[in-house]
Amino acid sequence: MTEVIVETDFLTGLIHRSDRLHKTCLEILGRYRVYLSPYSLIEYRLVNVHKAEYETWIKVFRYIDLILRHYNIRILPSNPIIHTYSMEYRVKYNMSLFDSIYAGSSKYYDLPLLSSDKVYGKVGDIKWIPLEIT
Amino acid sequence: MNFDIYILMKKIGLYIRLSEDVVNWLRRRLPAKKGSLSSYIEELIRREMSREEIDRVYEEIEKLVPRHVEALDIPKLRREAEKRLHREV
Repeated sequence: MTEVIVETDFLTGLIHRSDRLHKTCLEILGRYRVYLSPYSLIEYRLVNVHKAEYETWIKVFRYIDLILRHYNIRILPSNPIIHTYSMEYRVKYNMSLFDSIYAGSSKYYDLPLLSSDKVYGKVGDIKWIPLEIT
Repeated sequence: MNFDIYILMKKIGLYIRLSEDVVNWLRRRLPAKKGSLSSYIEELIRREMSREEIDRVYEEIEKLVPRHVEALDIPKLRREAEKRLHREV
């Protein structure tokens, strides 16, 4: 089974049943061995948490833990070298912090990056697999 | 069901969705000690049980976050997430 790194869009699609990508994410779990970038959880938090009370999100993050365990999705460890790649990509391709760090993780772990973000298409030394509604 | 069919089922990855009645019927008919067929059925039962639990988790998340940020909108929000991170720091 092919191994891939996924990021916040996959995480969001997987944990919210009403998301347009939810079914696609479940299909992907049948096709790929999925590893989650260590930075996705903080990005998910930054994107969402201002919208509700902290108590709500404490519960949500506990449920996220259960979902990741259920589907046996490992979170890859962070690493200083990922940040060196990230800084290179940020300058070279004018990427956002999170984009560059996911690309850096893909490069460091030598795994394709499965994402809906088209920005990865311009990074020559990683393999990008588009995440699209099926 | 004979052993050849069982092997075929494993090979083609056939998934049987088991209702509670079927689970109870299988448990009565197939004692756990009777070899690999019953262990396969037990595996299916376990999978089905954990599916029920995960269904509850999904329902709870939908209740807690009825309107989440769509996955496909995340790439557009990255710069804003970065700004929020700076503010947090």
